[in-house]
Amino acid sequence: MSEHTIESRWARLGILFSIEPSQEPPDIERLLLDTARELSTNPRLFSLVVTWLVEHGFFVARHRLKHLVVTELEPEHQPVLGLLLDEAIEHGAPAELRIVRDVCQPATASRVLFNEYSQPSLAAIAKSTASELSKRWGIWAPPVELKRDAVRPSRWILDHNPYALGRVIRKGDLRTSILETLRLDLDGKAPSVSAVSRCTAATRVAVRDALRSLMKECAVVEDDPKKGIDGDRKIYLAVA
Amino acid sequence: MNAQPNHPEILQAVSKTGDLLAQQGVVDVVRLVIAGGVAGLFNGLTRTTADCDVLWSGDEEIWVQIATAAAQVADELGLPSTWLNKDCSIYADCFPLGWGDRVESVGCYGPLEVCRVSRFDLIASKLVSSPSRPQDLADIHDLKPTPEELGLLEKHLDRLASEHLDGHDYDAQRVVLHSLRSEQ
Repeated sequence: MSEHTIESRWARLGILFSIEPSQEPPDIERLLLDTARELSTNPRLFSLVVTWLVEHGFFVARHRLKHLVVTELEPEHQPVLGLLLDEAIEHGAPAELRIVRDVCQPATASRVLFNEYSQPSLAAIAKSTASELSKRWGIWAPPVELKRDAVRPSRWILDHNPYALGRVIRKGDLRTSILETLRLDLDGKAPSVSAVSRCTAATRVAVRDALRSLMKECAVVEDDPKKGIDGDRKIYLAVA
Repeated sequence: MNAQPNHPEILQAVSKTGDLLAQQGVVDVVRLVIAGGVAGLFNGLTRTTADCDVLWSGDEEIWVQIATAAAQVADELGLPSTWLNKDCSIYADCFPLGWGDRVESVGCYGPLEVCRVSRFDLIASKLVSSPSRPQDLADIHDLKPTPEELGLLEKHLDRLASEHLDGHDYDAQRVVLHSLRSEQ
């Protein structure tokens, strides 16, 4: 089976799928977008990904995810991600994920979430068993039952994804998004603070503060340290 | 289908749990009947999880001993601490009569005699939960019940309805069954 299936990528992040984990470390934020896109045909992901977010939500670079939702996630899939996040927060995932949930748009017309229930008689069942949360997003889905017995502990995730240690130490905050945006989207360098601000959907003030902190951590460097971060200097990911 | 599941790590975990129990001096044979994700794997499902949901009606003290050993193994292998659990046991009444006689052997691991529920019993349990668990409806589609199995499933629903203390009629499950028939 392909190592790039959605299951193999989640397996690499600790979901106990019956499949080999992907060889490439997953881009967690884009994996969440792909999950929203695929959920209607892959219902098992629903409770598993909600459980993963409850257990490991601080691995998510939430400002980067917010930016990707706005710029990349198609409108028809936004209610799905909104529901996944809402269910996760309801069950104990980091409340900070609300900044992502809040940019997701609900469906304009109510419908079943899962294709398995697309026949009219089955759609009526889906509507009758739908959770209140799912109705608010306009996609009928049953309440989530967490599946903690199928999500590995964070120690395993870190053993298999050493790059993710910084994410969880920084609890997925803006510093995490800056570093992951530099690493995954900008080839390790940004032309200006404004560019970082745009790619993390955060204000320039917040980005400057986070960059100062990252410089103290020696995680990023600027091209002209004398002028300080307030000038629009190029920002580079520090070489480990 | 009786293929080995593509998840050697879980069989290794079961084996290590059996070894650990043997080291602790457990000699009496303990039967574990698997009904969850791993039972699905043995029945040919591929998009499922590899946790072991056990139908347990035995002594609670023995279960605690098994679960403690399984948690130790989980720590060693990086598995969820409850990878072996008996949460599904409360749904044992949803299985067709005689399911215990139809279990199929998986193997023996130390004192653990591991079995799995039969294909038909797995489908029947998934039919009962399918109105509120889309993954179970997806699994039924993947398992492709035969016309004969669909007939037996209807009888199963009839029995459950006749025995339900609150008069539950299993209408939603019958709608699912009807849709499965219409796809044949």
